[in-house]
Amino acid sequence: MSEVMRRLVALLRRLPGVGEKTAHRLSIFLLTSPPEYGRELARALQEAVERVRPCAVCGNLSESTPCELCADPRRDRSLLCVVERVPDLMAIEASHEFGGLYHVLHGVLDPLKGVGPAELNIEPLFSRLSGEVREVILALSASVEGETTALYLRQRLQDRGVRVSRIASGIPVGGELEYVDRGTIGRALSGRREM
Amino acid sequence: MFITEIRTRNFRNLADEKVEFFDGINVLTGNNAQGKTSVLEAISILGNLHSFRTRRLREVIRFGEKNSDIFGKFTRSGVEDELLIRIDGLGRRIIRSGKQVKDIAEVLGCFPVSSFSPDDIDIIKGGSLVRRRFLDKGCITLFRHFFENHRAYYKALLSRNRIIKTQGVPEDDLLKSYESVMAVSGIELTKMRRSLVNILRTSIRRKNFLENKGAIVDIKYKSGIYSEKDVAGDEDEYRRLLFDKRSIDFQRGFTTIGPHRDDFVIMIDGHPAREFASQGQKRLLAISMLLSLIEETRKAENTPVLLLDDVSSELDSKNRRELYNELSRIGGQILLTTTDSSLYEEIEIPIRIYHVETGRCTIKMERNI
Ligand SMILES: [Zn+2]
Repeated sequence: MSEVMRRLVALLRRLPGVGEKTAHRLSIFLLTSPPEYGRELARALQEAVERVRPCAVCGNLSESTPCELCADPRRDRSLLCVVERVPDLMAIEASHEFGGLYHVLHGVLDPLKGVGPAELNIEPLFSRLSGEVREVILALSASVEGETTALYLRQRLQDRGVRVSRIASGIPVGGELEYVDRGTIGRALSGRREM
Repeated sequence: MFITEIRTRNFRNLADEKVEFFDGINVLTGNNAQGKTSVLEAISILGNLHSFRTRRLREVIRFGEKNSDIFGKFTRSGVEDELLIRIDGLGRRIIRSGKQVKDIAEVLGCFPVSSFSPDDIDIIKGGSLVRRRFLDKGCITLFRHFFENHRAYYKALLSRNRIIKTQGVPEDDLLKSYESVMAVSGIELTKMRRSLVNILRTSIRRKNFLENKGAIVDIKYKSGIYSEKDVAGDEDEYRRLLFDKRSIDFQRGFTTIGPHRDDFVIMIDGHPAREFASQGQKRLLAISMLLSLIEETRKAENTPVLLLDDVSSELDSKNRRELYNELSRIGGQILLTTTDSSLYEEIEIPIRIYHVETGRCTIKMERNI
């Protein structure tokens, strides 16, 4: 394999869910397709990477900061929905059931993978609370990691004068949340939704 | 539920052939290293998605080959189900009745298989880990939410340990959230293990083996949360205990209390069997405990296929005969391995005996009564 191709494979491998085999398949697909496709893809990627960034306020992906959602005057500023990842936000948005604002953590706490509070978009959440926010809704997955993250946030939120509620996962908010880990930790924990 | 056939490809030293089993006692005989344990291993991978022999699944792939298949057919109340597991250098793929399974939760627990080797039943002489694992093998069949609670507890425990070890002064709120998960799932674990010990306690009294007949056997559960009290406890108390132990835990670098330190003691005539029982008594006690556990799990809704690897090897022929009679009485599907099949041939129970040699499994004898 040529050096250029090896580099391509190595970069593709870093994408989530892409292993050695898939990386090879993708690179061969790209290199045997008409070259316009590869160029177009590279351009789109470059443009997106340069223009789309996490919103400094909520963490949503957008071309502007604050993002369209944060800037929308029709949204209810007293409600804040905390989600793990951008696709969860998109899933809730698609349901048209929620009119408040969001906060994307970009992950969940997992000390075994080296993810502590500092690695997540958590501190900016607290700086948002001084404003009009009256209720924080935690829409996190029912995995052990999601559950502990919710408990942690609740503890830090409880003496801030905001209501904290938890959306029982598995019960979709109109649409469907995209769960990273669909394993639930059972009745023992799921019985405790009221926070 | 029982397994009707398996077929492997490139799996260790087994021949790429179909082997059929019957819903009763299947005995695999033959010399060592001929493939008896590999047959059990293949079945345990079908049921549990991991091997009792190795942590690295790729080790089962025959030398020089790229991948390996295990295919099995199961029957539950007359309904057939098929499972294919394909193992390659990167991992495994699960195909159920022709369809690829994406989430292992869809198959975990559907094909319950429970395996015991001599190490698993070394519950008198062995360490507390052996005894916890022994209990957990029963709990997973008997209690619906055992698996989730077990997973949640150990994940939270390892996370707490990691935080303790890597951070000088851990954030209180962070520790608290892991302790909450540990308290909730840990109490559930405690309840389930404790109730299984109580079930076994009643059962083992009726199940003393030959030389042990007449001896009074008792089992005591020792909670890893409370060193002395035999109580189920409640979450809030447990959470307080975890909080109180923090400074000690920081010093030692790990969590000092909790179900990960659970244990039970087997008593014989009022004394701990570990110190007071003879070698022979210990062996028989362990087998009696195993039989009690098997009998209790046979009462579950979806009874596991039982794999017994070489567990009778240390018994003399009188005790072995009693073990087989007892297994036959308890019923359900059992696959067991032994180097000596002479006894099975004369004993009057429904049985199928296979001879395993250089990876090939052939039926040697069958008896239906
Ligand atoms: Zn925003």
